[in-house]
Amino acid sequence: MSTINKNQGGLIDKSKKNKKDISLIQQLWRNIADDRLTLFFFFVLLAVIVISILARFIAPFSPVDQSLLRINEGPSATYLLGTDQYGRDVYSRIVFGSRTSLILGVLSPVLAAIIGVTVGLVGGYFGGWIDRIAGRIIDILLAFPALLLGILVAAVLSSGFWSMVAVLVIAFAPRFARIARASTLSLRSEPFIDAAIAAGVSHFQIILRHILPNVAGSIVVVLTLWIATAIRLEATLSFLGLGTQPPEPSWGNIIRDGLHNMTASPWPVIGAGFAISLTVLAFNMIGDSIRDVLDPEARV
Amino acid sequence: MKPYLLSVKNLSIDFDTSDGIIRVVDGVEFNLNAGECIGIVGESGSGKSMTSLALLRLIPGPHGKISTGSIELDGKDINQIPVQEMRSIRGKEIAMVFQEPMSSLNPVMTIGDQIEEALLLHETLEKTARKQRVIEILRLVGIPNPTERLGSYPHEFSGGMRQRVMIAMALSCNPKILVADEPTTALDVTIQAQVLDLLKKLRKEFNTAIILISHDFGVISDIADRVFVMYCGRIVETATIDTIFSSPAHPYTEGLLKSIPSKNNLGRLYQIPGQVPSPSERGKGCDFFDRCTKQMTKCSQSKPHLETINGTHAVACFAINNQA
Repeated sequence: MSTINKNQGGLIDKSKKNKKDISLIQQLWRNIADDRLTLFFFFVLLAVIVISILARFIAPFSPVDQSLLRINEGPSATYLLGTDQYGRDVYSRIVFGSRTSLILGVLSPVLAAIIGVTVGLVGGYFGGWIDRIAGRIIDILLAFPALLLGILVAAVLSSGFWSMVAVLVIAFAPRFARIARASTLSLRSEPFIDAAIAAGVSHFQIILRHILPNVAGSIVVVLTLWIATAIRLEATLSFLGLGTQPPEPSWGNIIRDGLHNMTASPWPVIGAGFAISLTVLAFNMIGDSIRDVLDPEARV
Repeated sequence: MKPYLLSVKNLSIDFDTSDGIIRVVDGVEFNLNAGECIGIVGESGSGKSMTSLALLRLIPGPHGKISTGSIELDGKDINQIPVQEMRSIRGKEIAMVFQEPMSSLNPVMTIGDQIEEALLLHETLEKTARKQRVIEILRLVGIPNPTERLGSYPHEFSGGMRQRVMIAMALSCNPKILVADEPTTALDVTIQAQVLDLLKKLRKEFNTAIILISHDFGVISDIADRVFVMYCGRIVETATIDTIFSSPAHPYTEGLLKSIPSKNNLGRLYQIPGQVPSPSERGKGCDFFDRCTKQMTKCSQSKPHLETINGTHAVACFAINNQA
C-alpha cells in the first residue's frame, strides 16, 4: 500500500516539474528535441541562418562574376551545383541568395502579423464602428491581388528591399487581420471574458492577456505558411522590377532566370528550389512546435 | 437603522430589439445587508440573470440598458460612477461567479495566474505574498495540493473543481458581495452540496453577503435567508425562507413549490399550466393571468404591485392583497 502511494507521489512530482518550473523556451526546446524529424529541421533552419550570415566565407566564388568560358556546366568539384547561362557559380549564388530570401521571407510576414493581428484583435473585440472601418479596409486590401499591389508600389516608391517589404506587408496584413478578427469574435462571447470584466480587468489587458494567447497558436502556424509565400512572391516582385535587381541573387530570381535555361542547365532551378522547400518545411515544423507549446492541452 | 450594503430601487432594464423595446426587468427592488444571503428564484427568462449583471454594470450593450431606477452600493449609485471607478468595484466590492464552469476559465492561462489577476488589480501585495494568498484561497475552496495545482490549466480540472476555482477567483479580494448566478446548475448533486457548503462557510468566516440566483428552490432554501420570486421581469413575492415554504401566497410561488418532487407525494408531479408569455405577448394585465388558478377580472386590466401582507412578506397579486 505504502509503496503504491509512494509511486503515485513520484508521478505527481514529475508532472509538476514538467509544467511549472520550466519556461516556454525550455518547453519549446523539449518539444523540438523530442521528435527527431523536428530536431533535424531545427538544425536545417539554424544552418540556413548561419549560411546567410557567413555567406561571404562559405561561398567559393562571387555570386555575380560572369564568364562565357564556363556557361551551363554540370556539377563538378569546382562548381558544386554547376553554372548558369552566364557562367556564374550556382552554389555561390544560392548561398548569397539566402540573405535576401531569408530576411525578406521572415521579416515581412512578421511585420504583417504584428499590424494585422493588432487590427483584428481591436476590431473583433470592440466591434461597432471600429470593426466596420477595419473590416472595410481589410476587404479593400484583400480585393487587390498582391501582384497588382506590387506594380502600384513599384510605381510610387523606388525599387529596393524596403519597397518589397512594404508590398508584402500590405498584401499579408489583411489576411492576418481576418484570422485574428474571426477568432476574437468567437472568443469575445466566451464566458471567461465576461468573468474577467467582472473581476475588473480593463479592455486593454483582456485583449493582451486573455485573447491574444488564445489566438497566438493559429497565428504562428499561418505565419510559417506565409513565409513560404513571401519567398515565392519575392521572385515575382523582382521580375516586376521591384526588389532584388539582377545580377544580385535571391532564391526567387535564381529560379526565374533558370527557368528560361532549364534544358541547358537545370541546376539553378533544382538547387534554389531545394533550398526554398527545405527552408519552408523547416519553418513549418518549428511553427507547429511553437503552436503546441502555446496550447496547454497539446502539451505532454 | 443601519444603511443597507446594497439597495436596488425600481430597477428596470430594457432591450432594444427589432421587435421594439422589450422590458426584461421591471421595477425590481431589494436590499441587502452585510453578511446576508438572499436568493432570487425564477424560470429562464424571468430576468434574474439580467438583474445580477446590472449590479456589475455588465448588461450586454449596445442594445440593453438600465431605463429606470438605481443600484446603490454603500450609498453610491453604481450607474453614475465613472468607468475607472466601476472597474475598481468589480471584483473588489462585488464579485461574480458565473454559471458555466467549463467555459468561464481561460483555457490558456494557469489557474494560479487567473486567480492572481484580480489580486494584481485590486491589492498591493508583493509577488510572494500574492502567491501565498492564491494558495490560501485555493485551500479554502477545497482544492487538494494547492501549491502544486497553481500551474495547472483548466482542462486538467473536473467541472466541480473548476467551479471551486471560479469561486476562488471571485473571493480573491475579499468582496463584500458575492453574486452567484446558478453556481451549481452545471454540477451533479454531490458536488452541488459541496459548493453550497463552501458558500455557507465563506459567509460565516468572512461575513460576505451573497446573492444566489437559481431556478432551484432546493438550492435557495439550503443557504438563503430571504427569497425573491421573479416572474416575467418582476418580483412577484418576497419573504423569509421559512415563510415562503410554510405559507406561499402568490399562485406562481405555490405552483413552483408544488412542482418540487417530494417523497410524500408519489403521484404525478404538479405542473403549472400554460407557458411563460413572451415579452411581446405581455399585455396591460398581470403576466401570470392566463396560468393563474385565482384569476379575477381585475387581473386582466392592470398589473398588481408588490404589497406587504405580513412583516417582510410581500406579494404582488390582487387575489391575495384584496383579502388582506
